[in-house]
Amino acid sequence: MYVAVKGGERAIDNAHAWLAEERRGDASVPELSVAQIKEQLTLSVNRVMAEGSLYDPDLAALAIKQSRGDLIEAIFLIRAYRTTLPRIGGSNPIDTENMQCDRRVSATFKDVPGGQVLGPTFDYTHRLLDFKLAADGEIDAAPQADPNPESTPHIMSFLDRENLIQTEPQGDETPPDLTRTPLELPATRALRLQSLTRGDEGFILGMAYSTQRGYARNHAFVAELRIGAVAVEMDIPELGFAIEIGEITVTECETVNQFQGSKTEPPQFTRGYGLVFGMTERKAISMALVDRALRWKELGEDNVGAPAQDEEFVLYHSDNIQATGFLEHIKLPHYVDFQSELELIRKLRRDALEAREAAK
Amino acid sequence: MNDYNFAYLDEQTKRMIRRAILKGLAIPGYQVPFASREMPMPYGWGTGGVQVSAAVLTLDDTFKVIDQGADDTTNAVSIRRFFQKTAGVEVTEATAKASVIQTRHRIPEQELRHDQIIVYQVPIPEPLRFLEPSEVETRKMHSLEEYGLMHVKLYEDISQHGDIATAYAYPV
Repeated sequence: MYVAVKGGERAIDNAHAWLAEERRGDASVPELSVAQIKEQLTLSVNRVMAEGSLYDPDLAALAIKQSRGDLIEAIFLIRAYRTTLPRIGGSNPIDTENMQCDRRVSATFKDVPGGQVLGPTFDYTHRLLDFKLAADGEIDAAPQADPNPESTPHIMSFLDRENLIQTEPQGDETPPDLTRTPLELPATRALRLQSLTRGDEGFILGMAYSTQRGYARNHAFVAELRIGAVAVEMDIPELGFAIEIGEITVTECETVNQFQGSKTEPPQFTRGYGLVFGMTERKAISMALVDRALRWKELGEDNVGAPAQDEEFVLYHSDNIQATGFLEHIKLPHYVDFQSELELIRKLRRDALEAREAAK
Repeated sequence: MNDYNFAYLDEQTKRMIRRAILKGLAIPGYQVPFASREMPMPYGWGTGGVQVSAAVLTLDDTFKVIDQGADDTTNAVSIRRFFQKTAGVEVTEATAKASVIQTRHRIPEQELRHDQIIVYQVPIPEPLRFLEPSEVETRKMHSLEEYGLMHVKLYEDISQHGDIATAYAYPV
């Protein structure tokens, strides 16, 4: 087999070699290990898992190392790997009610069964650069407490009891898989949520923010935000019962939104829902707000023409892997396309100038 | 690349894509949606075509890639190498020798034989997209054969410029 090596091929090889060198950086500085990334850049790892739609902290850390810290590039590596994996089946719904909460806060009720737990949050840190960290990262051990023996029921369930919150339809069937079936519009809520949870954090944040600033404002309160580990169980037909196949950390956000009622529904509160892999609080809150904005039709609300209400706009533009690929394809050769544009514009100019001359 | 299946994609996905192609052939003019996979190269760089190539390639095939009329542009090299690596197929730059030809935007000048497959990739296959950005709307327009917008565009082109001001991206 003979393939002529042209300039393009050699250039690609050389570019890759240089890239590898740049990734390593100054060789006199010790190399970063995948374990270090996994343990110390956890929130980057979480974002890559969430938007890569693959819960694997080791692979996410490897992807971050390989991508030189470019998280969208890392997400891309994970997605391209994930797509080759077989789909074995669907798990049972995770039971977030029985989450081992590292963090659990409510903005709607002060005293709640199970209590409020701040957990490892940036919330009340003052954003001052800690120059001590530049010298050494040694820390004192954090105080320990015994695990809370109380159960932590969902705060929404209190509103549920009084019928103050709109009820959601229940169902046992496994929702369709966005990565295996084409996204057709209008999408079901299950598909919308799948799309939002893997959507670009910045995009979802921007959409959510736009609703707060008045573009389809929906008056959201964070009824509850909880972060912690949950078991993943799957029914095994051969066994006839469900077994635990693993444990994942997720962030769940439930918002309670004002609702004046419509022709079909009495005045009551409504929900927005966010669920994201890992400790990804900003994303989960954003997701809940955008979810709520997208529900205008089923709740009989007006479409005020806000971007966050436009399902096609949100779902088609939230995927950063598609967006970055398509955006960057315009740097590929378009020699022939551009040549034909040049010819056309020359011809149009010639015609226009001739017409102007003739009119003189 | 032994960790991946022949031509990267798993057989189930390839079958799904071949079914979509058959459906497309059976319903002329209908754009068959399929669940696009994330390929290990960027979306918009020929990944739709890459998936179709992966779905039709066999071990005996000889593969050719054209990008904007050339085989030696960086992206064409990259796609050709991808299948050399993941499928181990022979590659060529000669149109007559190729059994599968993936091309971005352009078609080969040489007339093709019946036993050759051309995988023709375009970034946005919907000819109405630049007149109507919504997929929901363009689907509706096709089903109602409502092409007034396109007629108005062509009319305006001719009345303003004396000519159709579309340089490339004609519907095929």
